[in-house]
Order: sequence, then structure tokens, then C-alpha cells
Amino acid sequence: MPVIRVPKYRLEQVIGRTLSLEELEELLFRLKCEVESASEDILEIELNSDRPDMLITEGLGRALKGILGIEKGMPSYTIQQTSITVRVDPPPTRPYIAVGVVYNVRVDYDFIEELIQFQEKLHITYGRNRKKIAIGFHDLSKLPSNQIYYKEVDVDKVRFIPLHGSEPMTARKVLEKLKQGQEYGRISLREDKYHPMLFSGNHVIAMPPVINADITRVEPGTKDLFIDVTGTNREAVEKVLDIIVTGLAERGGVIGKVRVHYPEHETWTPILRVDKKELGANYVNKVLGLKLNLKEIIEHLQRMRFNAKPLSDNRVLVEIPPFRVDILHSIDLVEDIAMSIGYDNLEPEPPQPSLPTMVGDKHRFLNRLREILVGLGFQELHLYMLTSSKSLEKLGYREFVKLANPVTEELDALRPTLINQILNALKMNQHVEMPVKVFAIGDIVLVDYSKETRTSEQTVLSAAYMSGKASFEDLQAPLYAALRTLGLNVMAKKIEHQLFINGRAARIIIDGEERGVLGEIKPEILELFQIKYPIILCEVNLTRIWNKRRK
Amino acid sequence: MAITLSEGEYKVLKKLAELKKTSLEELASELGMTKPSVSAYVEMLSSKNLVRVVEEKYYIIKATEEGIRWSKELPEELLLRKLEELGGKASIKQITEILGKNISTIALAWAKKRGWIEIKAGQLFLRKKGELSRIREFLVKAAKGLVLRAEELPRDLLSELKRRKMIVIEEEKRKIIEITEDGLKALEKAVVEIGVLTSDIISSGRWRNIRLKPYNVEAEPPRVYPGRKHFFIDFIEEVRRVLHDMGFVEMKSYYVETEFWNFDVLFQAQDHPAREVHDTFHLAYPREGSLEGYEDIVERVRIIHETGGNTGSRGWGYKWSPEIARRLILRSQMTSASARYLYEHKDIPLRAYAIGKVFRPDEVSAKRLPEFYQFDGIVMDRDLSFRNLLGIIKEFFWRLGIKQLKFKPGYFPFTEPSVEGYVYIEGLGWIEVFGAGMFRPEVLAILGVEHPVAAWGMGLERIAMAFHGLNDIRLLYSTDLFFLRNMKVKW
Repeated sequence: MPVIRVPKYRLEQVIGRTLSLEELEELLFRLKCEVESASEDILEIELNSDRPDMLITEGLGRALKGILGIEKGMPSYTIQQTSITVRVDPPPTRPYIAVGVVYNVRVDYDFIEELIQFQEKLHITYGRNRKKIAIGFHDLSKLPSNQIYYKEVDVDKVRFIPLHGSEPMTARKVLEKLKQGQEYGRISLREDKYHPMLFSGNHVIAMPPVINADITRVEPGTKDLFIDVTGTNREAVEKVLDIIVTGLAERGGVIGKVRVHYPEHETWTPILRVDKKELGANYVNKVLGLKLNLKEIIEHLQRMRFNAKPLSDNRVLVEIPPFRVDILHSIDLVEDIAMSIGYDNLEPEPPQPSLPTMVGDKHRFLNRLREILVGLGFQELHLYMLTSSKSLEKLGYREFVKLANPVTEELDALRPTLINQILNALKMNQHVEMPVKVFAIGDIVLVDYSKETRTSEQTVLSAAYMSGKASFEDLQAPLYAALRTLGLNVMAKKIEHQLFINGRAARIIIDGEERGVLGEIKPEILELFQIKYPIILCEVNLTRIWNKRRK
Repeated sequence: MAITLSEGEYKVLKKLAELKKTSLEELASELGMTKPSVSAYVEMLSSKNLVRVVEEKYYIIKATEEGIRWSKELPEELLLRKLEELGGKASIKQITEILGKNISTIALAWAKKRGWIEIKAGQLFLRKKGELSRIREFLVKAAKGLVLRAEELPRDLLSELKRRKMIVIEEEKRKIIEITEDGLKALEKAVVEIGVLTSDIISSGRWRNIRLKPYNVEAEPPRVYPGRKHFFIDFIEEVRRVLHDMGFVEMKSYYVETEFWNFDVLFQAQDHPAREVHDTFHLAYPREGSLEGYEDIVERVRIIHETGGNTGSRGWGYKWSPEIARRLILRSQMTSASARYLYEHKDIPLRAYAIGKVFRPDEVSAKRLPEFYQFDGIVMDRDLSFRNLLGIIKEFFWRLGIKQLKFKPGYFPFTEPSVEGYVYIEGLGWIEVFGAGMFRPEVLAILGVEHPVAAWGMGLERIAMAFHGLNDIRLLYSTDLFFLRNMKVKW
């Protein structure tokens, strides 16, 4: 979740009131935010990803003023039309653009940092790392022309000075040489040749989503901002522009609308769409388990910066400000009402009590088995579900679930057996007092194309005995004891097995069916695992035993 | 006054009373014990004046090769036999031919000396028969080595045999142990002190005459280790028990899931960052699952994702892809189990849970692992409210022994209102452990559910670590037996 750095004095400036750190923490907590760390004057605040409008101090302050009751209802912003026009020839890789102006933003040293942070956090969260959305800020006074063009160009045929650069270079060079080019250059590049580009008159002002041109660079002293938002989803592009311009207009600025011409239609951006939703008091009270009256509901909504007015005795009409992109459904308004009340003020009320249920048969069966094995002196192990495909292949396992994006080679497969993990555990314990008697009960996952998830799951027991001297019976005896105590019929049948010494391997037959293996590990495998002690080991399928008995 | 003897001392003394006087070697072999341990007992007995150890001179007599050669028949006996065969009379020349020069010389000399024969003018005459069984028997014994005290020496034989180079004699000083008068008396009245009380001692009544040796009861015993359940699995079972007490039933869940059940039915948009490779494990093999048989819910997912359908929601406003939905992943949240369960179970009241491993591509560190246990619980009932959700969570933690909770508004794609929960743990303070909320109307519509559903989920590792005072999550998976054997049990 995004974390932003906010100077405390700025937040107080925006709210118009000083607050103690404790008060701020408490208020932010009610707005889904957590103060991660605070030095004397800088707060690090973790936000939830559903509120991109709070990624800038002005947006945070706007919400805080609401729950503090300093300002209520939807903020109103002064809007005027500009003479700027954008002509769009939609680039196939990034067809949508929305642009807007905010006058009188007054950028200073502190604010420029916050502005860059706002842009970056929007890129990472809502913008899906610039894939879905990318944002450019420009100094309005530096725009060479009010005629803006957004189109795809040949990267070898366009030159410009990239932001903070000194020399003009071709767009291809920007892609190849600059860090931003290497990082974001492939997102919207088509056929390794065509890239979206934003022009003011004949001048490149941005190469979205990679970098802006230096010509319109924002710097301390910049008064008015020109903003472009490009992306792959039209609604998202327009919403993000709404978030940005309303946030910046909180600085006392005026929002300027720009005419955008697409080949088939035209529009004015920012849209500043205000959605309306009707909300019933009954619905609110039913969801929250409260008895709020209409007046209270309206008060809470206004504190959360919605406009709300009564429609009837028990219904309100809610106007949703343009920056609230998280409101998909009336339920989202109900949550805001709960937040305004404060979750700690909602008395928890347990629902109708329910009768206890039986712990599932299978867990009872497994727990009984665990108890018996523990009684026989075996230590239970807790093992990872993920394991290494290399170590499985060493033991002759061929088919198992493999990850496409493992974090380490050691954990790149789902285990189809517990045996390799048990052997690894024994390897680590050659220095402790012998004998070592261990077991693990856990799930394994097998590839099974007849299932919708292409896999089937089984619970197995694996147990092992390791000592200076170990004989087959050292494990066979306790295994038989455990299974017979559970009322199962156990037998062994001689087999040959890739893991076990010839003549020292057996199939375990339970209630007449093959359920597992037991044997003494071959010295060549011990050597492979760098183990110096003899080991007797077994693996038994518990799911099958349980399934059969249940019938 | 009765004297106290250890069991070993008693055995040695008793044997000595039988043998009276013996060497250490003989005593050890008679007792079937090792020489050093017998020697230790003898020393203890001697310090109590119950035995006496004296040094005696011994003669070790060994037959030479010559002695062994003649131990069946001495040369003069051989001569006598041959002479008898020749009718009691023969010429020296004749005898020399039969016995050879060397032997006949010796045999003639000794036969003559013993008065067995007479020699006249080169002729031998038998005078008297004789035999030397005493010498021969002695040689047979000496062939194996004879140890004799001075008074036992057959002095008459020795000088002759020595002279005839049939034996060699060495002298040696040996320790001889003999029981004293005190020893004999002590044996009658001794109280035997023994280390191990055996079944035999009890049933024979011998315990009446023995004393059990005291142990050093204050010394550290050797370390032994019980077989033990794993503490973390035990904690999970405790959570399970609490849930069953509260009327929850277990839901089936899958380690390998389609994105459909893990994300799409939960109204998580297909471009949601949680679905990408740095937040979800995708599979290299097998890759794609099946949505066959789920045509109804697949269609509902498509419509509600794209436009919100008739749920009153805006939806996500994009084109939904069944290909993405079919991709296989390792489940990243147990809510997939809740979704499957609600799709199939519609009766109220409903309480269900699932506990299982979920997977996220995090590096292995003290704080995070790529896999962890998650618990997911759902409650469905008519008119179930958000306050009911807070209530059931409070009850759950209360039963687990945690009394203080703090609720913070949160965000999860599939719940609204959403809440993040903190619990207070003594010595650690507030820790964030759960997320909860009411399933969104879009999710309920997708699943075809009519009643409100409250859901909460939590990772179990953090809370188990807090309970056990562990600060490294990897310790929950430690296979180090030293650690596991010495881990203290919480009670």
C-alpha cells in the first residue's frame, strides 16, 4: 500500500488548525490511514489504495476538514474554459488523453516535491506502473502553442530535449539511453518504431508514458499548471485528471477546461463528473445494524465531503465529488458513514449464537494419529508446502506442480511427497542425540488433468528413524503400533523401490489396499543428501485410508 | 557389628571363602569379571582387613621341544620296548641301528642308570622292567605351562629333566589373595549393598539382607526428549477448535486455483495489481484450468465486472477475459474457499471456515515467507449487519484469550464496509492481524447469494509468533531438533 511523506506544517496549513501528533494519528486512522513514522516535522502516512485523491496533502486535508467538521459537503471549485485545444489521432497502444489546467497553483520548493510524489504514487497505484495511466505536469506559461496534438510518431523522426536534459535527441535515443526509456519505453512502443507523442505546436512536450520534454519544465515559481493524462482506459484517464485538478484547486486555484477533439467526437476535459446516488436510511441501518435518522445520515455524508439532501422521509440524494473514484455502489457510501461515526463507536454485537459443530472427521483422525505418534516418541515437524524441483528430481519424481515465477530455486514446486523434505530435515540433525524419530503429516499436490484445477490433493504421513544403527523394525514396529491402535489392519509386502535398499523395502497394505511404502534408504541416496547415518523411512496416504473408512 | 559390603565386594569375598587363597587372574576368571574391576574390589576389601594380599614366588615350568617330543615315551622306555621285542637280548650294534646313534646313546645311559639293563661285551641284557609315567605326565602338563609354588615343586624330577633339557624353569613373584579370619566372619554377618533392585532380589527375599546403595539424587540426570506435537500445528488446531465451538463448519479448498475463483468471483478487476506476478504465483505446469460446468456464474462475473449488471454498481468498465480467468495460480487468499462454498450453499444461518496455506511471491526473510496460513471465516444470515461482523470477531478473539481489539476502516476489493483489525498482546502492544468486511453487493450477486455475508480472514503466523514470543517467522518451519526438543510448551 502506498506511503506518502507529508510535512506536518503543510497539513496544518491546509486544515487551518494545529493538531497534536496523537490527534492526527487518531483522525488519519479513521480515514484508513496509518502514520508509519513521524519525525518532528515529516509524517510518513500509509494509505489504502482505494483513495488516490488522498495521495497529496491538499486531498488529505480536504478529508480531514470534513471529519473535523471544519468544512462539510462537496467542495465547489471555480471552473473556466481555456482557449487550448487538443487534437487526438489516437495512438493504438495508448488511445486516450485528457488534459486540464489549474491556474494559481503557485509551485514552491516544498510543493514541487509533493507534486512529484503525487504523480509517482498515482503512477504506481491507480496507473498500474504507468501501463494504465501516465501523468505529465507542465508549466502553462511555457507552452509554445495552445494547439496541442496527441498522436503516434516514428521514434527516429522526432527530436526533443528530455526533462532535465541539455541536448536534443531522437525519441529512439530517449528509449535507448535514458533510464526512464529503458524502464517504461516498451509499454506503448509499437513495432519497435511508433510511439505516442504530445506536441504543443511543433514542439514535443511529452513522450507518454516515458518522459516529458524539458521545454515545459515545472519549477519553483511556476504559477499555472497544464496537465496531461494518457492511458489505455478512457474512464480511468478522465477520473485521474479529475483527481489531480480538484486536488490542486484546493490551493485556491481555478480549474481550466480544455477542448479535446477525437476523430469521431469532441469533449471538454477535465470532465469533473458528479455522480448522483439515492440512498435509503433503511439500507444504511440494515447494513450497519444501527438506527440512524435521516438527519444523522446527511450529517455523516457531508462530513465525508458528499453533498446530501433529503428526497423523502427516509431517502437522501447523494452527490459524489469527482475525486471519489472508489464509489462504485451505494454500499461504498455506507462505509463512509461508518467511518464518520468511527468504527470504535460501533458497538460489536454478536449475531444469534450457533450450536457447536463437530470438528471434521478427518481432523479428528489426523489428530489421533498425531497423538499416538507423539506417544511413541516421535517429534512432529512442520514443513513448507513449497519445495525444490531439483531435490525432487534427485529422488526420481518427475511430475509435479511447477511455479512460473518462483522467488527462489529452493521453493519452485508444490510438493508431491514429504520424503525429500524429511530427508533434508534429517540432514540438518546429524549432530543431535540419537536416535532421531520424526514425523510430519501434511498435504501433497499431484497433477491430475481430470480435475478443474488440474491437480488433486492428498494428506500423507511421513515418518523416519535415524540412528548410528537402525533396523527396519525400528520404524516398522511403531508404524504398525500407530495404525493398529487406530483399528486398521496392517501388512507389509516385499517390493523393489528406487529409494530403498533391495530386500529392505515394503509396500504397506492397510485394510487390504496399497497405502504406502516403508524401507531403508539406499546409501547412494544418503550420500546425495550428505547423510552419514542409516535411515528407515515411510510414507502413507492418509486421505485414502480416511475416505475408505468413511464409506 | 555388621559390616556393609557392596554387591561386588560381597561376590569377591564369597568366592575367596571358597578358594581360600588364589591369584587375581584365577579369581577374575572364576567370577567371570574383568581383572581391573576384581582388583578394585580386592583393594577395597583389603582396606577393611577382610582379605590379605601377599606376594609369593612362583615357578613357571615349560616343556622344551625336546620335552614335548619325549612326553609319550622316553628314550630309555623306547629302548626297553625294542629290547623286549628282541627277546630281552641284543647287541649294541643292533640297537644303534634301530634307534640311531644319538638316541641309543642317551637311552643306553639312562636305562643303565635306572638298572634296567646290563651291558656285557657289547651285549645288552634286560634286567628289570620299568616305566616313567610320572615323568611323562609332568611333561604333558609342562607342555601347556605349569605354575607352581615352591612347596609344590617335584624336586627329584626337576633336576633330571632340567639336565636333560626337557624343561625350562622361570621364577615369578605373584599377588596372592587370601581371605582373613575377619573376612570369614564378615561374610556371615555382612549386609550387602547393591545398586539395582531386581525382580529376582525381591522374589527370593534376598532384599532382607541387602542394603540399596544411595544414589546421588542431586546430580543432573541424562537428558531425554519426549515426542512432541509441533507447536504451530497445535496452535492451528486450537483455532479450529474455537471455530467449531462457535458453530462453524469446514469448507473445502484448493492449493492450485483458477484465477476465476481466487479473484474474478470476488470482483477483483483483471488488471488489479494483486493478480500480477509480483503478488501471485503463476504456474509453469500445469497452466490452465477449466471453467466447464460454471457457465452461469462465469456469465454473471463477466456482466458485473464489465458494467455492474443490475446490481446498482458501475462495474469496472473493461472487457472481461475468460482466458485470464482460466489461468492457474497458487491460491493467494482463502476467500476462494468461501466463494466456492457460498456458490454451493445457500441455507441460512450459515457459518463456515477454511484454514490453509496461501502463497505470495515474497522473499524468505524473518518477517515474510512465500507461503503462510490463512484462516477465512464467513457468516451468512438474514439482516446480518456490520456490527454483527464486529461482534463475531470479538467473540472469536475472546475465546482465543485475546480481550482487546481495535478496528480501523480498511480496503479490500470484495468487502464493503471493510475493516482491518488490531489485537493487543501483552508485552508486544497492538499488532495488525485480520481483515474483514461485508461481502460487496457485486460479489453476492455473482455468487447468487441473497443474504448479507460477513467475512473475515487472518494470517495465523503473526499471532502464533506473538503467543510464543518468536521474532523470526522462519522458526515456525524450523526442523532443528535442538530447537524443537527444547522449545517450552505454553500452558
